Order: sequence, then C-alpha cells, then structure tokens
Amino acid sequence: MDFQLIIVLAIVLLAVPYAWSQIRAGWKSGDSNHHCDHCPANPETDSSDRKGRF
Amino acid sequence: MTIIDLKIGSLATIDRIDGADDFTNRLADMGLGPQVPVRVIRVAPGGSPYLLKINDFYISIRRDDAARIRVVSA
Amino acid sequence: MTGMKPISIALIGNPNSGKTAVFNQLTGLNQKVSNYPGITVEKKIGMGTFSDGRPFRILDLPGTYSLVPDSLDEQIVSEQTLNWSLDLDRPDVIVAVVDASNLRRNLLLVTQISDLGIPVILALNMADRVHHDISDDMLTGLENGLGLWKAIPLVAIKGKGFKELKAELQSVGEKTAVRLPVYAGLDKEAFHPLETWLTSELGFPRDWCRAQALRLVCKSGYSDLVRAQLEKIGHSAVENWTEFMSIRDSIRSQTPNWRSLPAGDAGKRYAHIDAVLTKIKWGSDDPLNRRSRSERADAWLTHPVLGPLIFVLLLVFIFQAIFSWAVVPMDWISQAMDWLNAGLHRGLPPGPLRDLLTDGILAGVGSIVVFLPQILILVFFLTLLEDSGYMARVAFMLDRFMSRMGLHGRSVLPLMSGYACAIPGIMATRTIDSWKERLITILILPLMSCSARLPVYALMIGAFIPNQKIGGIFGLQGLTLVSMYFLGTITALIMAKVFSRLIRKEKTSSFIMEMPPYRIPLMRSVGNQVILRGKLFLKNAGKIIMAVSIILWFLASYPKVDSGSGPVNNIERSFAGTLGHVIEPVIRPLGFDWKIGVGLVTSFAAREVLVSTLATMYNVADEQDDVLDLRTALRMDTDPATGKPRYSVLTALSLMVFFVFAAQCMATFAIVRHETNSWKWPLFMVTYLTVLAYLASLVVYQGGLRLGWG
Repeated sequence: MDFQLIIVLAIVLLAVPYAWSQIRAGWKSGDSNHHCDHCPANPETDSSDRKGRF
Repeated sequence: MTIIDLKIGSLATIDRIDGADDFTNRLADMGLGPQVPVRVIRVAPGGSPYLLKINDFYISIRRDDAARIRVVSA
Repeated sequence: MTGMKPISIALIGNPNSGKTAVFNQLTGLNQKVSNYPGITVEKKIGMGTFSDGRPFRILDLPGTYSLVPDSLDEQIVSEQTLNWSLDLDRPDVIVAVVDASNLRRNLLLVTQISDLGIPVILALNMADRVHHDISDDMLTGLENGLGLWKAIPLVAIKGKGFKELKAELQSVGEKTAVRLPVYAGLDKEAFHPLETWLTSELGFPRDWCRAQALRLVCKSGYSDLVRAQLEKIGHSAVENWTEFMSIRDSIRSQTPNWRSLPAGDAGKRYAHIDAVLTKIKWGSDDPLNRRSRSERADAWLTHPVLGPLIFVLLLVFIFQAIFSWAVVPMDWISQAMDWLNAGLHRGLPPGPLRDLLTDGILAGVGSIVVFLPQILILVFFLTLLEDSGYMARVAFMLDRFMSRMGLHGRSVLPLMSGYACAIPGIMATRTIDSWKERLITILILPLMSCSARLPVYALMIGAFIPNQKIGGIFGLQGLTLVSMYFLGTITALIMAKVFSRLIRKEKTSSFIMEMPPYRIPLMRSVGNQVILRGKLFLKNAGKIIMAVSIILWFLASYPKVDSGSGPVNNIERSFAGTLGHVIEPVIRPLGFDWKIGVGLVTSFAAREVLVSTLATMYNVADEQDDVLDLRTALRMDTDPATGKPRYSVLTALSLMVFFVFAAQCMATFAIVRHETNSWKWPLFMVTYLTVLAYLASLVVYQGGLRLGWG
C-alpha cells in the first residue's frame, strides 16, 4: 500500500478519539468548573432551605 | 414627602425609610438612614430607576422603592 | 526557607473597591478586574512569597456591603467568616480593602469584621482620588478609632503602597482590637440567653457573639444559612438547633421591633464611624454640591433621550469596526495560509498525505483562524465598555425596560457578555438574586450571537452582501451584521417576556445598584482579556477544529470512484456526500443543500466548524493546487442540474438566521445543566431554540422566494 496512505489513515484514526475527547472536554468544562453553592439555586432541585432570595 | 416628590437635582435629608425588610436593611448597610443628606441626580427613561447621590457615591433604586424613602427638603 | 507555614491572608471589601486589583498586585496574577459591581462571584486563592522567603496564601472574596447577606452572591462571604469564627481556616490577618474616596460607606463592613478578633489591615485603596491629603494623624486616628492593626494608603492599579503593605503583612502580630461601643439598639437582657448559647455551643469570640445574636434573630435566611453551614462541617451544635429556635422565638416575642434591628445596628455603627471621621477631619466638605466628572458625563450618557441613542450608535460603531478594521490583518492571515500551502505543495509529492495537509487541515483551520482579528476587536470593545463603567449605566437605563420584559437591570451585563461567549454570560447571571429572573436570563442567553457565530456571519456577508455604503456612512455589510445581532437580541427579549408569563411567579425583586465612577480602562487589563479570548479561540482551532477537519477530509475524499482511468474524487459519492444527501430533504425548504447539511452536523462540535467544513469540502472537490477563497467558491458553486448558482443572498440570509437561533453548543448545554441543576431546562432550551431556528429560516427562505428574491 502507498506509504502516504498509511500515514493518512493513522492520522485519521487518531483524530477520531481525539475529537471525541475534545467534545467531552467541552462538556466537562461547562459541567464541572466553577462550582457555586451560593448562587440563586433552582428551587425545584435545591434540597437546602436556601430557596430563592433571602 | 418622599424621594419621588422631589425635583431632579434637589437636595433633601432622609427622615425615615418605611418598612422593615431586605431593602431597608440593605439601604441601612449602605449608610442611608435618618439625617443623611441625599441628592436626586436623575431618573432613567420611563420614570424608573432613580439615581441618588449619598456622600460620595451614587446608587440606583426603583421608583417603588424610592417612594419608601421619606425626606424633608434641605 | 521552605517548609514554613504560609501566612494566611484574607481580602474583604465592598463591591468595586479594588480587591481584585490588590489581589493581582500581591500575587502577580492576572485575574479579571472590572468596573462593574459584583464581578467577583467566586472566591479566588493565590500564593506568593515575601522578600524574606516566607510564603503566603491569599483568599479574595466577593465584594459585600455587610456581613449580613442581603443577596445571594454575598452568602459566600458570610459562610467564610462564619467558618473563621468556628476556627476553621482562620486567617492570620484580614486586609480590608476600602475605596478611600468613599470611606464612610466602606467602613461599615470593617467594623463588622473587627468583631471577629482577627488583626485587620485597612488598605485605603484609590488614595489618589481622595480630595485632600492623607496625613499620618488621620491614619493613626483611623487605627485607634476602629481598632485596626494598621491603615495604609494604596493605589492598587498603579502598584503604589505595596511595599508598606507587604512589610506590615510580614510583621503582623496580635493587637488587641479596640472594644467598639456596644452596637445594636437591643435589649441586652433579652439577648443574653442567645449570646450564652452561642459562646457555649459554638465558641464564638465575644463581640462576634453579640453581632451574630442580632443577625440570627432578625434574619431567618441567615439562621438557615448558619444551620446549613454547621451541618456541612458536621458541627455538633446542629443537634441542639431546636434549643436555638426556642431561644430565638422568645427573643422575638419580647422585642416587637425585631425586624428593623439590623438597620438600627447599622445606624449605631455609622454613628461611630462618623465620630471617628469627624475627629480626624476626613472627607470633603460638601460632596453633594460638588458635581464629579462622572456626574457631568452622565448628564449626557444617561440622558433620557440621548443616552439610549448613544448606546445604539456605539453598538453600530462597534459592529462596523469589526468589519472595516479587520480587513488588513485578515489579508495577512490569508496570505500566510497561501504561503504555507505553496510550501507544502513544493515540499511534498502528490498523494493523500499532501491532500490531507492542504485540503483538510490547512483549509479547515485556516478558514477559522482568519476570523481571529474580528473576534479580538469585538472582545476589545466589550471589555472597554465594562471596564470604563459604562455597562452599569446601560443597566441603569434599561432596568425599566428589562423588568417589563421579565428581566432585571442586572441581566444586561450577562447578556452583553453573551456577545463574546454564552459561558461567561451564564456565569455572570449569578449576580441576579432572583431565581426566576436568573433562569430566564440563562434561557435567552444563547440568542445573543456569540463570537463563534461571527465567522459564519462574516463568511456569508463577505460572499453575498455587496460592499456598498448606505447614505454615505453605513456600510451594507456592517449593517447586515448589526441586524443579525439585533435579531438575536430582540428575539431574546420577546422570549423573556413569554417565559416570564410561563414560569411560576415569585416575590418581586428590587434593584439596588451602586453606580461606579467612570474610569479610564487599564490597557493592561483590557489587553489581558483580549489575549485570553484570542488564546481560547486559537486553542479551539488547534484542537477540535483540526480534529474535525481531518475526519471530514477523510469522509469527503473516500471512497474514491473508479472513473475508468483510475480512482478519482467524487465528493457527491463520498461518505460525507452520502450523509449530506440523507439530511438534504429536511433542510431543503430552508434553502440549504447537502454541503451545508454536512456543516450543520459538524457544527455541533463548535459553531464555527461550519466554516471549516465548507472550506475542506470545497478544497477536496477542487482539482487546483491553491487554497480556494471560500467566499468565491460559494459564489461560483453551480447546480449541475440547472446550471444556476447554488447559493444566493437569500440562502446566505436564511443560513445566518438559522445560526442566530440554533443551539449548537455542547458547552452551553452543559453549563445550563450545571447551573440549573436539572436536565429539564437545558433540554427545554435546545428544543425551543431549534424549533425557532427552523421556523425562522423557513420563513426567510420561503418568504424570500415568494417575493421573487431567489
């Protein structure tokens, strides 16, 4: 098989899991960063007493 | 007389603030209380909020809240 | 000198007193400094070493006016000070950062902190804006009158006074705080049982006990907070909470005016502060009669008629600039891409590897990087508006309108930061202290066109909107761009109104906002923001866009078709082409063909990937060696069946409108899920945005066809 084609296939095969990991990283950056206990919380899912405003 | 009865630009002294809730406590925390002089600087388009000057700083509060600040003109 | 226990320092102060600037000076970090109250919504920790080698650790807390939390972004400070009084992470020294030009109001918090019994250094920030000299006698007067370890004048943004501050931080020791007069016009007898309970159960310092007793009785929200905090750290006092409740109820029944006691306490503290300030002759004679420069500027900038007009003109100017200023640097980037492409063609033999590098990676990544200048210009202006203090004026001018729309004056800054990216915008909604208004702001935020959409708009406008002037001033291209932003913004406001009707009502909120003085933005700080955004954009281009481009190149290049004289590319029959043709029937009514269909699929990785996807596909299909100009390629593309151009102005408009509305951002979905702590709201958001996008595009395209614009 063509030498260039082998390299290309290797790159493409590496790119697939890499792209997936990047998409997951994007998800995680939204989901886990900047945790905040103190912000106005969703009263429907906030189990503490601190609902809505003071 | 309350803040909203004052003309824009006029100076007055706070007499008392009606009610006892988060709003009045917050104003007290910021130093608005009896005998404190206040100037009405501006009213935003649509008649609310008000821009007030106290000491060296400016705060904006909504019209309904401004109507709770009783004043005597200076 | 390693292994030493670091000196633990805490920064506390009013909003907009410059704590973050002090933090940056002490740690050498570059946290975002802003001129908008409440920009620090989280605590930040920094480390450093003093000149003698002793390490230190600094905690920067969000700004607060008082230790009694009135809004939720202030809870963090209350919880922290509560922990300290329970001997958890108690700092060695507190630096109380105050705006020296506004000392009276800033000192209330200082008197409350003194109750903790931790040494306090008073950092008189913005000392250059005080209208009189600051004498040593004044400083001594403050130290003695308020029981401070030391009072030091600073100009944090210029780095002045930090030698003295650092020296004091190193030598900090115990100094008995001055016993302040007993505050709180309260019946001591009545409060005595609670003070005793707090001392025995929680081991609070004495003055702290007094202040806490008052807050716990008057604010049910505060006692809930204390309870939650005790529970969190597993304190045994939680078990005796019913005891606390019964003591509290008996005090309340004995004290008819208990609700207004915090205001009374603040009044007493202010009386003490006024006495100290009068004694040292601090303060200008007649601040209310002196019109500050900010006040004079505001006569124009917040004028009932001129104010909003200036705001709109500013926005139009910014979007014009995005087009006109970026032309030259964009050309440089394109030329660099051409040069790279030519180099690759000279250096590599023809074959799939060369095609991957040129048609795949270079075309894909290059088509995105070219928009870097426009994004930097946008971020530059947005940062300028915020740092100058103008954004607070916009909040002031729009509060009435915003509240009619079910939003809040404080929604303005998050929405405007949404023009850069929805993520920081959603973060900034934390300063809105009503859940309903916050939720509505979050739900409509993706409608504010973020910078990732800019490449899509810019490509379509550049390709299909003629570069003409209207009325000799406004360029048609710039105006088209502005109208896309307006379309998103106006829809956002309409949706806010709709949602405010649908979402369960709660208590009406109030709007108390300090109006910061105008300041000339620090170029260093603006530059940092611009560089940060630019880096993020390039990082995205280097990672996700590169990866998607590689995969897409492969999907668009294979399988090769046998043309008799050997396998050749036929993009229509490639994997990508097949996928596109499957989608095509769904998007045909919007005027989109299969190529855009592929782009819509890949743009779920990141919006701007649409552009790189088109670039890769056109370059794969193209037999020439050069990198195609994507704009030209789009214009020249013809439908082989009819011989007519495939795309028109109408297609471009329809596609842009689709991008105004469509929810194609994983990270936004994730942060909405996180911030609302539910799957319901992010799913709802994506659904309404997708429906909106499809319908709006359909109306634009079909309506345009009926009008004969196709």
